[in-house]
Amino acid sequence: MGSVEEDTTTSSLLALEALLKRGQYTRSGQISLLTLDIVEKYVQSNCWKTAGDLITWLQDTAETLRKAAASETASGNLILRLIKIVRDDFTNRHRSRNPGLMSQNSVDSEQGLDFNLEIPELRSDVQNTIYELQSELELSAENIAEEADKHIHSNEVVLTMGKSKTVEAFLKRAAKKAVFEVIVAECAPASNGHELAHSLASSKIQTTLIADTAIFAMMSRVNKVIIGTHSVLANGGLKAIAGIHLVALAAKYYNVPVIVLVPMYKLSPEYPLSTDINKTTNRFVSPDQLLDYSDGDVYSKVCAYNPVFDYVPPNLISLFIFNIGSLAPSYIYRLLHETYPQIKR
Amino acid sequence: MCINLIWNMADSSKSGKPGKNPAAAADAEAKAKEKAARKALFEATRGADIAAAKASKEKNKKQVKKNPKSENNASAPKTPASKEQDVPDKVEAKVKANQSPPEVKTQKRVEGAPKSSEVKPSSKDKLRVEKDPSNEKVTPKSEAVSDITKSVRNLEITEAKPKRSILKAPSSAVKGTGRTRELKSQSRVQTLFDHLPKGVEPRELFGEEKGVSSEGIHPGFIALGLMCSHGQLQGSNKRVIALLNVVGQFFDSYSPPPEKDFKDIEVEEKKSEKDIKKDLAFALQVFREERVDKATEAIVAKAKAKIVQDDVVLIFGSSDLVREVIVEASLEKTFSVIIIDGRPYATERRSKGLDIIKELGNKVQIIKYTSITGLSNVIRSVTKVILGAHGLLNNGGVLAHAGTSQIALMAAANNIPVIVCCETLKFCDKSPTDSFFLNEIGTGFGLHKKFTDAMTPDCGPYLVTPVIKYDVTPPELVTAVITDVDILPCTSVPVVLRVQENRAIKS
Repeated sequence: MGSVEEDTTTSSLLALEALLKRGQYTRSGQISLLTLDIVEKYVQSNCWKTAGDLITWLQDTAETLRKAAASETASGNLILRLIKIVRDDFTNRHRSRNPGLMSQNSVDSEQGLDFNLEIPELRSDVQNTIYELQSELELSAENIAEEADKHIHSNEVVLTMGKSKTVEAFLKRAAKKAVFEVIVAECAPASNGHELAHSLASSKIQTTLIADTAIFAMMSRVNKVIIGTHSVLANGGLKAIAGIHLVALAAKYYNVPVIVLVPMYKLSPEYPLSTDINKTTNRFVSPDQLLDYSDGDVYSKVCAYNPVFDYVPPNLISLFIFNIGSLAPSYIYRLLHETYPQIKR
Repeated sequence: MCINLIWNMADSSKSGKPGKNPAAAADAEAKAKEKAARKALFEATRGADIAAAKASKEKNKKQVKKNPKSENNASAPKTPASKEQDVPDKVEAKVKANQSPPEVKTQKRVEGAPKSSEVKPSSKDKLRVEKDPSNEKVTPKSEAVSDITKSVRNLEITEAKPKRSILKAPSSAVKGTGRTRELKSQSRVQTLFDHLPKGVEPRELFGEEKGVSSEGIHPGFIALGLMCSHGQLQGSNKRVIALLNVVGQFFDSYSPPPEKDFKDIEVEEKKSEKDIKKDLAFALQVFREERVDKATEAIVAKAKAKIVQDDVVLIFGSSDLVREVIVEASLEKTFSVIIIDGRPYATERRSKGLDIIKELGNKVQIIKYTSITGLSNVIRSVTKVILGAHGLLNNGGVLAHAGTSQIALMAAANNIPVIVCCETLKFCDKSPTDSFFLNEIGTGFGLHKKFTDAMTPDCGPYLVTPVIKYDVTPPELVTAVITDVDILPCTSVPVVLRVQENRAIKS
């Protein structure tokens, strides 16, 4: 039973895996949505009966996707969050069926539970949760942008780097109320800052596009740094696009607040040890943007690095704006606790 | 820069009377010989980079083709809003020109500050002043040089004035109903650069309408100015040497006006014109050897001793001096080098890092190369950062290639020593507290090609892409400065300057 459904799920999973392996994606939001689609298919199928089955499958899937792209944590985060929700839903259902058994309070109580117990209502519970997550994903940029008025005021100069959909939406929302200026660092060699600068200027926001070398020079005139990130790590640090560390350091030097816009799915339970990120989950891409292949002889003399991510320590960050509210970096550990299951992945 | 030098020379020889000509300056200079030359060149060097920037100040100038035969034919007509005046205000001249045999395009720009305490009677010098709404452009005849001399310094101060407006500008950014968005000229960020010359196609500077004349300016200076503004002459040392050469040429080819000669001007000792010229040439030669060549040697010797076996040295930018240090040190020790590169990268075919790799590739053992955005990834393995500088400022700031401050900041954040190599020649008595005061704006890198076409209609005035060429690294980020005198903290600039000044006065 369910073999056809299982096949479609597996094939979409394989497709996503291939996408991740080849790096054929541009945004982690896109990955998250694809992941959620696959999970939805699986949940709707008859492939599972008990919460235990579902959790095992989710764990396996998370592991598969993690192996496909170690640097891409969004899908893993999302699945972890689902596991937590499945457990909570199961616990709640179980408790309502057997009120007498549950004397202790919630979180720790699941220790004694048997997840292989079949609870029919669980399927619709999980289904609803997935719908909620989907709409949360789709609306996260907008929800974050709601906060824009509180943070950007008229006459301010805001600096950002590279291109983030969330930052773009945030700045455009703020521009409805206030007149401010944006400095965009191009974020070479990918230079997607150009895209953002173009988009902002087209929306009639006064924009200055600068080279990455000019960040420190410009920072003395900046009121706020507003950036997106690839993920938020367990210690409140960032794994963000390469170059953000420079921006954050320069901002710290001039005591300019650094505001990071993060949708929830970017919250990662990964705990970095400072430079670990470079050895474990960073990604290095072709340096052809730095050195031209036509200068072939040069390649024999150098190791050219073109890293994708920077690690930014939490002490350089002033505030996270999640779609669920604003938090300081020091609160991240608590948020993790509430969002993800306690067991090790 | 060149004009600066000449004027400063004149200045240092105290020949500030109206009607005095460069000969006078030069002549008096001869007396002061080396001392004066030194002093003048201090000035010149200080202003060197900045001067190149100034040289390209007039963006709106149109091109005028000049008669091939002489650069002296340039006419000095008016700028739209300008009036011709016979009275020079404070004046500063910038020269840039390109001289090519078939068609000589020359240009000269002189800027004056609006209000001058030094207004001189026009006199026989036919000094022409062109006033422009924003900047006055003055076209002095060479004979007026000494008049102008004194004002050079003042002018440099007045140059800072436009910057003030930056602070006022923002208040005008919002008008009426908060929804009004201001256009380009009122942008707060853009006004930061108002005082800086924008990248100009030099030939645009010429022209009858521009009030620019190359009359009375030695073609060598014009050529030099053009080379600087075209970016063909990069690096302060190269600029200094080129300037010295041109000054030498100028002295060589100078002949006093018919009614005067060197002897009339000569006060203390009577010397033949030939002797005076010889002395001047010698002074220049000595200056160059002492302050440039030997200084480089001294710094290389000191700096290479600071590199130890198995070091990982990070370098940035294209400083010749730093490259020489690396090459020399590599003859004695094994160490690796990490090269950080800023824009432009390979895509624009002008990567500085590429040149460095080509030069060092065969000499240094291991080379890593990455962009400035990848800095955070390699910084942990670095044991020393060695940087070049364009100038060391009075407050200890290091004026250097844009991006240097970020390298120093990242290194400081990781407790890695930052060593700056800088000749005392480049010490400068200005004290900017930000990177906007002394800077150059290069020609824009613009958007990515895919946006360039769409940009004009869509973005119009809402998008600007300034290219900042220099920045100022705060002194607290720099561990030490290796100079030709000694290894010093970078706050030692005023001391070194004073010592040198005293020595110059004594000699």
